[in-house]
Amino acid sequence: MHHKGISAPLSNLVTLLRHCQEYAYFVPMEPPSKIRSAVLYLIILILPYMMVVIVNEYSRPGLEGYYNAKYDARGMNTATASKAACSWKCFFDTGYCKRHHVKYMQPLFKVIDPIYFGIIGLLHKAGNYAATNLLFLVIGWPALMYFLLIRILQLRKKLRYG
Amino acid sequence: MDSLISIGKWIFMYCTDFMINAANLTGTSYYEVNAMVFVVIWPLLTVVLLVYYVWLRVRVWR
Repeated sequence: MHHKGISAPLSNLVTLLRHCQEYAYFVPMEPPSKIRSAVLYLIILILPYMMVVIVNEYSRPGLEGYYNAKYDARGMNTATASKAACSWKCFFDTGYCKRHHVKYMQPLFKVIDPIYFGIIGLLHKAGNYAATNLLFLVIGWPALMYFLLIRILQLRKKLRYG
Repeated sequence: MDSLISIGKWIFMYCTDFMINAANLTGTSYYEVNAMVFVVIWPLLTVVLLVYYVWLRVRVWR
């Protein structure tokens, strides 16, 4: 069967989709098994952290790195200031990053700065910046979004299959 | 406990390195990547998820 006005492969795809639609109408859909759901939830949990590792390990070759005495750990990027690229200098001195690296958000400084520095200020106020940063931005907030997403998936499943 | 603190510090530095690397890979800046994630996307996503969750809860409850 060839649908008028569209190419042959696309026409085949349309036919296939119609068959699937008809099949789904006659065969009652089973809710996904608990194991399948658990695997899906695990993938959703792991994926963002995987992205962090992929980006970092892709960028690692050629990076100088530097030793941070305060945190007693070695960073991947250098701490030397460079106008060509961002480094740990931008972490320590946001003003430097804003002067030399920001390209698109310059007109938005007035809107973003109060929130941006508000978050940094709150993290500093807690006493230990690194620990609070880790607990709030790496664990707490993502955990909240993850919890909401999982509950949404569960509620959608409940509405669909009862 | 000391090793746990060391791991925490290492994770913190690894995540900061991620933001720097993401900025350099996308051709933007550390400030812009942080602003996009923590000032725009995450707050917006959290609100959308929260509203959708409450709406679904109401639908299930009814």
